[in-house]
Amino acid sequence: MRSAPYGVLQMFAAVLILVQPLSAHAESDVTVAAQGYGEEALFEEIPSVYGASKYEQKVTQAPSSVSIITSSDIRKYGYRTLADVLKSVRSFYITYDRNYSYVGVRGFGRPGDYNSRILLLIDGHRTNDNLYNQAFVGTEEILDVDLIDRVEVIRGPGSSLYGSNAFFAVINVITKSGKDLKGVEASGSVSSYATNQERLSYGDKYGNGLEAIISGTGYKSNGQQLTFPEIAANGGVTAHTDYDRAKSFFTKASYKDFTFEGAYVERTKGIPTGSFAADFNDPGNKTTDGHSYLDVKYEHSLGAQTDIEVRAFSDYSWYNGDYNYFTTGGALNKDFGYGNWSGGEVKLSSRLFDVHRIIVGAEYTGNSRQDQRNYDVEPYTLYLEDQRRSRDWASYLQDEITLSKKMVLNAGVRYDHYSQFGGTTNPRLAFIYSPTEKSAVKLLYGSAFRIPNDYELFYSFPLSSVPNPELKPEKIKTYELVYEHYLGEGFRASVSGYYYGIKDLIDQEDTPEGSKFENIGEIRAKGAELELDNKWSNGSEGRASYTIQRTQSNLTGEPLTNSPAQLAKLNFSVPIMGDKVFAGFEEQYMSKRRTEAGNYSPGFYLSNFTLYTRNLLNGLKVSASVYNLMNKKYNDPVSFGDLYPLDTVQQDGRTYRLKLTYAF
Amino acid sequence: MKIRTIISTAAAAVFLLVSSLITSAGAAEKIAVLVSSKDAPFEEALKGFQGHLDKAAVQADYEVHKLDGSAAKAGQAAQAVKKSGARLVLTLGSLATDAAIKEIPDIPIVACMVLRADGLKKSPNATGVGLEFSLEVQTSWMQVLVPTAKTVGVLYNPDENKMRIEAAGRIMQNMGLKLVAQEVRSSQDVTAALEGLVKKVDVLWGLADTVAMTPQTAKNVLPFSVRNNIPLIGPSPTWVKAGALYALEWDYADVGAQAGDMAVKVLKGAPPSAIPTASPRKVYYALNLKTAQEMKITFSDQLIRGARHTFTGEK
Repeated sequence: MRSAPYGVLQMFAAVLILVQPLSAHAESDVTVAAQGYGEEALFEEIPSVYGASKYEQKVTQAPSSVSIITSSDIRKYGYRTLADVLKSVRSFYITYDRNYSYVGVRGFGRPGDYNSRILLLIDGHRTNDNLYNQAFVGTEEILDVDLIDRVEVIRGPGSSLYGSNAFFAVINVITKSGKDLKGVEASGSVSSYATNQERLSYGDKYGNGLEAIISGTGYKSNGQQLTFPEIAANGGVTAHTDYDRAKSFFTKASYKDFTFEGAYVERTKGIPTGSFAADFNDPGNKTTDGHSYLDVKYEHSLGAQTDIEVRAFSDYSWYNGDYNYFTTGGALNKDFGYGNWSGGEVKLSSRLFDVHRIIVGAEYTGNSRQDQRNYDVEPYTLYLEDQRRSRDWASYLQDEITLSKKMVLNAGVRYDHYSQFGGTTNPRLAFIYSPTEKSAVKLLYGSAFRIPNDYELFYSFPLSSVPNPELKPEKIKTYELVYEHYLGEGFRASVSGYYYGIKDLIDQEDTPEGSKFENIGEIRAKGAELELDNKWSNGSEGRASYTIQRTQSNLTGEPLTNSPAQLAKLNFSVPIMGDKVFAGFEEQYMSKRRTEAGNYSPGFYLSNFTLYTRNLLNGLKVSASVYNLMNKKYNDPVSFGDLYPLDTVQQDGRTYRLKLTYAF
Repeated sequence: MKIRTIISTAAAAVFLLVSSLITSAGAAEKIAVLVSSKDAPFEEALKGFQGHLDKAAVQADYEVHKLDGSAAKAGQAAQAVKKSGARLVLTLGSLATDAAIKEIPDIPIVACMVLRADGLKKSPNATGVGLEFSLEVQTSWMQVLVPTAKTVGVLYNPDENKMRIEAAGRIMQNMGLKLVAQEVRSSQDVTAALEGLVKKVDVLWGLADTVAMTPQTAKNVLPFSVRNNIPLIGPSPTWVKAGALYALEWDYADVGAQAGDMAVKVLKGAPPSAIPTASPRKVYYALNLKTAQEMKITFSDQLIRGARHTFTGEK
C-alpha cells in the first residue's frame, strides 16, 4: 500500500506554519486565569445555556472529527430513522435499495455492502451482528429515534478502542433515561403510503434511586406502487410489494452502580425489486430481520480519579429471506441466518500524575451460534447448512497525555485475536493543539480493520456463491488534519483534510463455480470538508457542510461505484413563536455516482421541511413534515449482481408525515 | 459690683458648658473604606453599612477608596489608609481585604463581600462577613427546593475544599442525603468528572471552587446538567440566569449592616479577634423556571412568589 502522499504531509506542515502566527497573536488574547476564587466569580456574567453560545466543548477536545445530533435536532428536522440522522451529517450519505439502508462514508459506499464498515453502538453496546456484521440504520434499526438522547458520530478509524467494524466511523447512540420522561408518553404518526407508527413509553426516577424506562413501537407501511422500466415482467410495474412492518421494544433500568438494558426488534420488508432473480411483483418475496440483546453494566468509582466499568451482554439476531421462483419453474427458497453471541468487557480508567488519562480494557466474545441455511421448500432441497462457533478476545490501552495547557497527545493501541484469523494490532495517534480556548488543530492517524463476516467466508450456493474460508481482514490507514474554531458567541467552523488507503478489500470475483469473495481490492481516497454552524440569540440555529473527495481503486484507477465526488448539506431551524413553534429546513446535495454497470446516477438536490410545536397545549408536541419537498426524482445505485437487471432504484418522491406526541 | 461679677461668672460657666457639649457632640469616627469593585452589590453593601452606623448613632467620616479591580490601586490605597489615622478599615471584596490585611496590621479591619470569611481568623486585627452560606443552610434549602433529591453530586478541588466536602458529607448524612463527590484537579478533568456522576446523582451542587465551578467550566457544567436532566444548584444567581435550577442569594445591604454591627463593637473597644466571623443572616433564592420546565420540576406558587429573582431562560 502506498504511504500517505507527500502532498498531505505538506498540507500538515502548511497548517502548522499557518497557526503559528495565529497562536502568537492568540497569546496576547488569552485571558490570564484568576489566581483565586474571589467573590468576583460569583457576579461574573455567564452565557445562558439556552442562548447563542455554542457550549459543546467535547467536540473540540475529542481526538477525532466528531458531530453530535441531539434529540432536539431529531424533533426539529423530523428525522424518522437513524438513516435520516446520518444523511444530515457531514461525510455521510445513505443508499436505499428498497430493502435495506446502506451507509456511505467519505466516498465509500459500495452497493450491496452490508454496513459492516461502521460500528453502531447503543449506550456502548455493539449492535453489529456476528453473521453479516451489519449495522441497521433504517426501519430495521432496534431503537425508535424518539428514544435517542443524542447521536455521536465519530469519524475515522476507531479499532484502537473498539475493534472490528470501526473502519470508517463509530456511531454512538445514547438513549434517554427514565427521568427524561417522568411519566407516560404516547406518540402516533401517519405518513404517505398508508404509513403509521405508534409508540407508548413510560419512564421515571424514583425516590429510592431506581430509574427506569420502557417503550414499545409499532410501524407499518403499505409502501408504494413502483415501476422499473428495466424489468419486462408485468410491464415493470409492481404493487403491494414495497410493504414494511416493524415492532421494537426497549427498556433500561439503573440502580446505584448497575444499569440493565434490553432491546428487541423484528422487521419484515417486502422486496419490490425481484432481487436475486426472484419472481417480480410477488408480495411473497420478503426479508425478516430481528435482533435482541441484554446488557448489564456495572460502573463504580474506586476513588483517586479511577473508575471501573464491567459489562456483560448477550445478543441474538436472525434473518429470514423468502424468495419465490415459481415463474421460472422453481420453488419458494428460504434463506436463514442465526447468530448468538455473548461476552463481557472490563474497562479501567484513571487519571495519573495529573497529566495522564489512561483507559485500559479487555473484552471477550463467544459466538455460540453462527448458522446459515438455505433450502427450497417444495420439493425440499437443501443448499446450505453451515453451523459455526468462534470466539474472540481483545485488550486495549489508551492514554491521553496533557503535554501542556495547549497540547494533548492521545495514543491508543488494541490487540484483537480471532479464533478464525489470528491476531491484529491497531494503533491510533492524535495530537491536539489548542492555540486558544476557542480553537484546536488536530493531527490524526489511525489504522482499523474489518474481519470478513460469515456470509463472505462460508456462504455457498450451487453455481452462484463459493465460500472462501481463507479470507483475511481488510485494513485501512487514515491520516487526517482538522482545524476547529469558535468565532464569536456561537459560531463554529471546522476544516479538515483526509487521506486513507485500504488494502485487502474484500470483493467478489467471478469463478466458474460462482462468485467468490477475495481480498483483491485496494482503495485510496482523499478529501476535504468544511463545516460551519451557528446559534443565534433569537433561538435560530443552522449548520452547513461541504465535502469534496475522490475515492478510487488502486488497481484500475477508476472511481469507486456509488461514490459521490461532492456532498453538501444545509440545516436551518428558526423559532416562529417563542420556544413553542419551530420551522426546520434541510437541503442536501449529492453529485452524480457511478453505478456497477458503468453508468451514472445523476446528482440531485433534496429539500425537507418540518414544522414542530411544543407546549401549545400542555404536554402536546405536534410535527408536520414534508420530505423531498420539490418531488425530485432520483435513483440510488444498487448491487447490479444482486438486483439484475436493475442498476439503480428509484427513491421516494414527495412524502408527508403528521406526528402527535403527548406526555401525561 | 458684686452682682455684676456673679452674673459674668455664671454666664462664662454656662458658655463653657455649652461649648464643651457642642465640641464633644461633633467628634466623628474616621473610617477608611476600600471597595474592590464598582458593581452594584458592593454599593448596596456599603450603603447598608453606613445605614447601620447611622441607626447606631455612630458619627463617621468615610474616606472611600475605589479600587476598580486594580491591584496597584489596592496597594496605593492601603498605604494611604495606613497614614490616615483611621479608626477602622472597612473592606468590601477580596482585593481590598487582601491588601488591607497585608499592609495595615495596626488598624482594625472589618471585611465583607468576600466569598469566605474564615480566612480572616488568621489575622488578629480582622473579622468580617463572608458571602458563602453555611453548609447547614445550603442543605436545608436543597431539601426545600429539590425535595425529591436524595443523592447530591459535587465537583471539588481537594486542595481547596477537602475539609468542606467532608463536613458537607456529614451534615447531609444527618439530614438524610448522600453526597457523591468527584475530585477535580484541573479544568480539563471537569468533563470526565461530570460523566462519572451521571446516573448516580439526583442533583448537582455547585460549591464555589477555583477549579471545578468557575465561569469558564460553566461551559461544561451547564450543558451537562441540561442534557442529563440533573438540576444544578448554582453558586450564585448569575448561574441561575444562565440555566442552573436555583441558587441562594443575598441581601447585600443586610450583609453590609452585619459588617456594620461588627464595626460598632470594634469602635466601642472590642478587638476584632474577639468577634467571630459570620455568614449572611438573610437568605434569598433565585429560580430558573425554564430549567424547571425542561426538567419537569414543579415549584409551588408559594416558592415562586418567594423567589427574589426568577429567570425564564431568555437571553
